[in-house]
Amino acid sequence: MKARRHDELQQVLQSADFQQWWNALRAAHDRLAASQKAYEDVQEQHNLTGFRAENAQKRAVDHLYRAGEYEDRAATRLAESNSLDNQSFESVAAFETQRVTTSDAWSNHLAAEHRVESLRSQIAALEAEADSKPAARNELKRLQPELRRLETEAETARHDYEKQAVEKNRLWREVERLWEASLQISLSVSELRRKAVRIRKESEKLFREAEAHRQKAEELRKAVKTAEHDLNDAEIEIRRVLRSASERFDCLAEEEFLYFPVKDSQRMVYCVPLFSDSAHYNIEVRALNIYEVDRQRGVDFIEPVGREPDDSADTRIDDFFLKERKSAPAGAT
Amino acid sequence: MDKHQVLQSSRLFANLLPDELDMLADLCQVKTYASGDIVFEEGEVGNALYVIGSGEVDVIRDFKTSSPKIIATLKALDFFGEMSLIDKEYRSASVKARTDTEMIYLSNENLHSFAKVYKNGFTMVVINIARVLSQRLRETNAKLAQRM
Repeated sequence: MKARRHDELQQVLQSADFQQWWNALRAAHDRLAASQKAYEDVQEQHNLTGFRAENAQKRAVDHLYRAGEYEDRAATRLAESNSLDNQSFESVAAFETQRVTTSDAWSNHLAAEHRVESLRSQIAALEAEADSKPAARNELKRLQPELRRLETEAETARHDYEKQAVEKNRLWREVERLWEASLQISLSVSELRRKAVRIRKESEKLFREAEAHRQKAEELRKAVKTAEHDLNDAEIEIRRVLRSASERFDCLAEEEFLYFPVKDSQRMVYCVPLFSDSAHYNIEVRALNIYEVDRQRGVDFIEPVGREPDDSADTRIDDFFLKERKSAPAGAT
Repeated sequence: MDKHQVLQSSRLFANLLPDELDMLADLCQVKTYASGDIVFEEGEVGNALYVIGSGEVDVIRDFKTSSPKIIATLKALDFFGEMSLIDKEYRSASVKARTDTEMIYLSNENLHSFAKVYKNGFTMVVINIARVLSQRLRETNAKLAQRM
């Protein structure tokens, strides 16, 4: 590489040849930026579509499981309902038996009451005759204990009837409870079945969505490949343009700087940034300005060049030392 | 933040010529700190000076102890970090952003680059630093005299 003076390098940078090269590099960078953006956009769409496909598939499977759960619950409830129906049949049979028993107890109770009333009437008639007829008195003596026995029997029959009636009512309430429970469960079975059907249909819809997303993702995968190819081409083009700089301007061309050896210096190298950056180097670098770097440190420490101060008319230092003080209070040091 | 504006307005760079200020603007970097951020800590190696563009910072001694002392609060166009530049000692205090703050950062190495090109300009910067240090010393002496 040819070592140059600062003014020689300025001439190179201002030449038409360099301007043409710079325009080619900027065009290549513009193409790279556009390719990069296109690649990132299509890659993002691909990732997003792939994620949507996975998400739809997962939701479809979840829905399928849920539909199965509802179907299982419906089957369990149906079994419960059948069991309750069987129980209710048994309870109805028990009720019918109890109803007959209660009816018999009622008849016994009425018959006992009737016998008591008949005997009371007979005793009342005998009491009317007892003063005049000794036989009536004897009969009364015989019937009085019989009346007490019949009254006891009637009381027992009444108690028995009441007990049987309570049991009959209890059995009827049990039948009604079982019917009500069975009805409620039967209704919930159909509801659960309908819900299972609905969720299964949603699951099928989600499986179709997942498949559509997968197809779209596959199309996008091909688009990603194309964009990746374009991006690689753009990067190759930039490398080609940078290589051409080495040949055309006899310099070292890296990705972000051109380097030119400094004439009469073994240590320093001129560097020309191909971009502007105010934050990531020790100084604010501007594209195509000339800076100087040490060969060992490289762009770790960049120094500005090309400033040649004219100190001939600079009187600031003289002024500072030679001009009188503005004021000097007593005792000042 | 306009670097040129801050450089032109700061006492640190008073009497510098436009070309010198241009080069300093290239050599300076803008740094931003959120309220509460530490700019540097007492005992660290000092390798740069700072000029506040906007916001305020606290200068704190014994920052990491149970009784830190705020010895100064600096505002826009004040500068700090210059003592380490002169005496090559470690930072004598910590500096913490009191508000969201923007400042100009000038490393010792970059100031050296400036000194190599603009010797008179660098001398003016040193004189400006000396002026401020001198002013602070006078103020300290006056306070000491009042107490004695």
